[in-house]
Amino acid sequence: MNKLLIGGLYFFTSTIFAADMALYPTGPSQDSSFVRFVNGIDQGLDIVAAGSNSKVGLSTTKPATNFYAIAANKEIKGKFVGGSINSDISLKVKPGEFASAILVKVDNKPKQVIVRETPEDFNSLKASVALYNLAEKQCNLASLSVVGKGVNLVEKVSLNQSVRRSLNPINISVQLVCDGKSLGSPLSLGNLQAGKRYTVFAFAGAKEPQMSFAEDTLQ
Amino acid sequence: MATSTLLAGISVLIIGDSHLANPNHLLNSLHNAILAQGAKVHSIGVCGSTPMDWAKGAPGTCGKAERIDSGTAKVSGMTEGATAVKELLQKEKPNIIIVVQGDTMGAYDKPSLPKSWVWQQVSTLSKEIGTTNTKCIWVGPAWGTEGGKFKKTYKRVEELSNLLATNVSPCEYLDSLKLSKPGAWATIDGQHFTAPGYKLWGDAITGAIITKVTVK
Repeated sequence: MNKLLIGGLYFFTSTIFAADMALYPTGPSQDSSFVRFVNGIDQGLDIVAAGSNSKVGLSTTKPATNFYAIAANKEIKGKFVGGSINSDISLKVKPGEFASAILVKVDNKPKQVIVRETPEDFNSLKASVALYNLAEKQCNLASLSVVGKGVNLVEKVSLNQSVRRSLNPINISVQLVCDGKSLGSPLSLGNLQAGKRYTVFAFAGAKEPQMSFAEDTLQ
Repeated sequence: MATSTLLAGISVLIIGDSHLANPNHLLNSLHNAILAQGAKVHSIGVCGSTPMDWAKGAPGTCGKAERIDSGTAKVSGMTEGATAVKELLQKEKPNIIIVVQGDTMGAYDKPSLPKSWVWQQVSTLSKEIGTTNTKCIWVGPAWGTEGGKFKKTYKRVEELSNLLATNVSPCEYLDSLKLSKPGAWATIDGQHFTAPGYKLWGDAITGAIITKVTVK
């Protein structure tokens, strides 16, 4: 009788209840953080990491590194080095943040700008394009108009700030508009791809702002 | 034994987290339900695994279990882990891969969902699968019940599911939240279901997959 009862209970419990599972983390202790380095001047630069002294070269045609995953809220140290430039980098990045450490020139002197994004628009069905306005005195408020469409992709981006926009993955060219005036040459973004993120940088040029385009790739 | 031929001739690889890493979980119910439609099925579950573990391969921390067709479940040790998905797909060449991943990214005990981390995790695995051109269905988290040792909440699981729905492409998203009402399936700890709960989830997933595969 007892065996029957025990057998019955075993059948009941094994049918109704699954085995207890170990307690495991359902996510990280804090969100991921990322940093990249950007060359916003008219000469090549190296990024030199503090400690290891490892280098990454940044040309004027490929001005941005990939985004590196880093520990949140820990100081990142290094240098922008090139010619007479030797500019220390020091920044902390919050959880969930994508930070860009950018070297630009103001009145022919190097200056660092940190642009920070905390994206909410992750979407593998859309492309995502940001405009970073780094054009200093040449552009107080920057917009990107879509060539041939008469619409703005992003608009009214303040100096040293960014604005990002999701869009369908299409082939477009954009024109930089500064304080209401079209400046510089249009830039083809090519065939934007779904799920990919991109940045258009507006840097100060010799006479007028110049655009540069990068895919925001994770290292 | 097949009771239907709706998925006859199709081979299915199922990978996932703790919901597949126990012989009483989806390793039983989902595996059997797909098998009953005439498909060949290989299921692998690694407890606590996240998408990046399957993208790159990683050791486990709390157990692994595996089944092939009508064979019995093979339960491995705590440190047995995930094999990189490309390696699995190149070796097995299934017609469909089903990814059961969600709850291990919910951060239910944290004040906010780590969106950048979830995006990094999900986009890395879905891109890896995409490079193989294998049809992929991503099964998102189910409601479970609120509280328990994982501190699951309906609000957070809904937020997570919405993020997954727009980020698993080229996989198709199978929204488990649409398969039941919140709390409808009993759990043992808020996150893992009782055996009858897993039967209901496994049957509902299978029904939705049949619709995705056969109705185009």
